[in-house]
Amino acid sequence: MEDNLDNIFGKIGEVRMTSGEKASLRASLLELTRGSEPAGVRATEDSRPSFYRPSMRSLLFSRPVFASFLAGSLLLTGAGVSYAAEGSLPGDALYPVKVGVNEAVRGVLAVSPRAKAAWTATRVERRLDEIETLAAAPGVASVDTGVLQQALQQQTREASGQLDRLTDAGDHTAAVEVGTRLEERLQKHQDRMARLTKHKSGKDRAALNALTETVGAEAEDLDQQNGQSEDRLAETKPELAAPLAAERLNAAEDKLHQARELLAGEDRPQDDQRQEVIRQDLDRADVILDEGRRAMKSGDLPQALSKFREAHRHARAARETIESAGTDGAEPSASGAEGGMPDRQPKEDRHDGGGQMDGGSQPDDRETDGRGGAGRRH
Amino acid sequence: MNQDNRPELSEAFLKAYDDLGDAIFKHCYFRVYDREQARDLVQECFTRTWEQLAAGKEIHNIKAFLYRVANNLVIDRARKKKESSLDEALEQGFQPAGTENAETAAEVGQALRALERLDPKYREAVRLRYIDGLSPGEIAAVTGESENNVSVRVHRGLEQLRQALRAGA
Repeated sequence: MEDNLDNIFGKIGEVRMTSGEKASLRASLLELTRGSEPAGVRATEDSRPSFYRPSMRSLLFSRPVFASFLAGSLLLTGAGVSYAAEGSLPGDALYPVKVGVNEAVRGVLAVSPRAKAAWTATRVERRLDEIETLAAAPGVASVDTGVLQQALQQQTREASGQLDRLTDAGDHTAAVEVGTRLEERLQKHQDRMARLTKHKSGKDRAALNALTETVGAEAEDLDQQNGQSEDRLAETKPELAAPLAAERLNAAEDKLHQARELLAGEDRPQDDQRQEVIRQDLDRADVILDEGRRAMKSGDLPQALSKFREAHRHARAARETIESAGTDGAEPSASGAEGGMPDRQPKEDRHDGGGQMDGGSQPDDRETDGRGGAGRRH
Repeated sequence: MNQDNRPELSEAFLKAYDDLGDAIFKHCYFRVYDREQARDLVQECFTRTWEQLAAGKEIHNIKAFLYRVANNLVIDRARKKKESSLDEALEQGFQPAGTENAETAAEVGQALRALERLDPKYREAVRLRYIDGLSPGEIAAVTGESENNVSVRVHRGLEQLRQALRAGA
């Protein structure tokens, strides 16, 4: 086998992103470069990838074209279409194959409760990927985002139902694991959307705000559910709850540090009211973190977990408030309210969930090659 | 690359993504063994690189720079989160493209396990040379080691890997 190393390295060297993943990332980066450029040097709309163009999208989105194309494609090329559909987006001709065929098959293949929960979470993540790809390109308002919004809501609730089943079956470890993964992804999505929406205006912005509101509502519910799952894990398997609490503590401390660092480097003006809200959130996060540390020290892991999640929520709310500076009054939100102070105060009185570990890397000033420096983080 | 001409800078940056996005993805993937996380790392890597460019940093070797950023991100991630276990990933069906054949998949799994057990300095050299496909000169630009030192590490790492595979066969 040692003589076969070249062949083995050759095989694993074939790993790459799917065309959909690569296009999605490229669209995000294109948007990023536009956002950082001075006005007047933005790329023209024609430079966007052809599959984002509304005319094509609206043509293919008509049901008769969908249906006939779908039927023909499936008959003629089956697996090839199924593969090609994986990179499709709402409004693309192959999108129904992606959600109606590919995902249905994967759903059937997930047999165990754990696999079912993992799959339903993955399906939500796929919707979030689609939203981010659409958000990174111009013309999102020309897509029927209502369908996506509805699917997201329904599929997040299905994932939540599967998590409940895991909990009912006593598999709290899996419930926490899958729930946390989904919660992290929802949080990351909200961060990304906040960044992407900044550069939008008019109907595009309103469409994205509506999607973000849906995600925010689902994320809050999931946050609460995960808090309950963690409580049960702490009661039934304290040996697993201790490292989880340590992880939650780290996540909350990181988030608080991020918010403070962001505030320190923020050059946009923060009005008095906003500053007060930020200060309250940061102070509250500090106090709650201390309470959590004390609970952890005394062995009250459910309480510690709850406190760390709550502190994380406050730190996150502070960060969102800081980042929302400069967007006041720019555009009405999807709900019709004028832009301004974000309605992101953490829920204080509910059963605690909260502090998801932020998968993003922490800003760090040690080196210049990507580790530190000013700039946006997510 | 520098910021003297923004449109050209932006174009060059996106070209760097087109040319190197998959390579950086592969680099991250064989360190975290998770597609979603690898994709996030690629996005973060290019985002940070753009931020540096937009802030006026001159980058003479974009390829080496991107690998350094990606490396730092992987290290940051490993420090903050429990490092992904290759065994766990393999159990959960981690299967790189091109290894659909069961025998190949088993061989790849065995080789990766052996690679993971190498001394970190040799492991990294072998990964960069044979998985990322970088030349010794390019590895030297990424790691800051001399090209000679890199060549020695790659050679020794490969020898150790062969020995480990022979012993495990």
